Amino acid sequence: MNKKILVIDDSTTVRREVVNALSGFEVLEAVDGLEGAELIESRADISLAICDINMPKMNGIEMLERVRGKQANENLKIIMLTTEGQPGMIKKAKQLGAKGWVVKPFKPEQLCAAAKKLTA
Amino acid sequence: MAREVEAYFAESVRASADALLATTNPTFRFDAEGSDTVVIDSAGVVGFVGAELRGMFIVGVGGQSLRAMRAELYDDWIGELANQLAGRVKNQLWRFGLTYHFTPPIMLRGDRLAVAAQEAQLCVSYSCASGQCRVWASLEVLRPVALAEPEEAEAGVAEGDLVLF
Repeated sequence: MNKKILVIDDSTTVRREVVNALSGFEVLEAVDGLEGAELIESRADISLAICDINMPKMNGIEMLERVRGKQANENLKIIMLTTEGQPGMIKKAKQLGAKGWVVKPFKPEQLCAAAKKLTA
Repeated sequence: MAREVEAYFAESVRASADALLATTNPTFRFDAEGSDTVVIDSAGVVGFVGAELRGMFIVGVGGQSLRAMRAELYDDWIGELANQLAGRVKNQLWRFGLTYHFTPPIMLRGDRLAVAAQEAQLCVSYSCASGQCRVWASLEVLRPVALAEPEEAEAGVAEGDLVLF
């Protein structure tokens, strides 16, 4: 089964930049946390999610809480990709099982290297 | 050393906008002469609120070449600029114990968009070969608060950095 990466961000510009950075990977897209959570819960082939925090409907931390509570998602790795960099939020995301934190604007080669490492 | 919240907010917005607009494609430069010539046709608005503060950031952009370059993502790109500005300023204020939540961006379109001077504490103009940008910011301090330099700040993650746990 091909491993897929899911990018969750309400900005089409950011999603497109992430897709371009991850050439070689099959990348799925979701426009908010709710759509992201539903995709994660309905598919078994997503190995990494790259998730914004400040989004309509469901924010990235809420999405993390929701999918981390499900046993079916325990192998999924999640990186938060956001404009925010405060230690309290980072600590919370880490406690909820996030594997990384990126503050926008991201460096494409750095994101791609992290994706390779986490999906290896 | 106590610092005035309004002054630090204005400093943070200016520094954050300068840094943010230096990373865009194309990059924008501060334009001291821009106040009379900038023509804005699309703007992203982000509101923020916290225990001590509330206000908004508006990032406006204008220019046919820029619109053509960004095509159907023109408004989305501008909204993301407003979003990233709100995040950068939040990262600055956090070091002094202030924080806020902010909204996803809302887009405005028009012809010569402008914000009345009394509605914005800060208005800064930028330009590039393809167009122009203007940043407005307003702040309302909801209760008396003074900024103090933190004795020892816990390290966060800086703009552009990636940390794996």
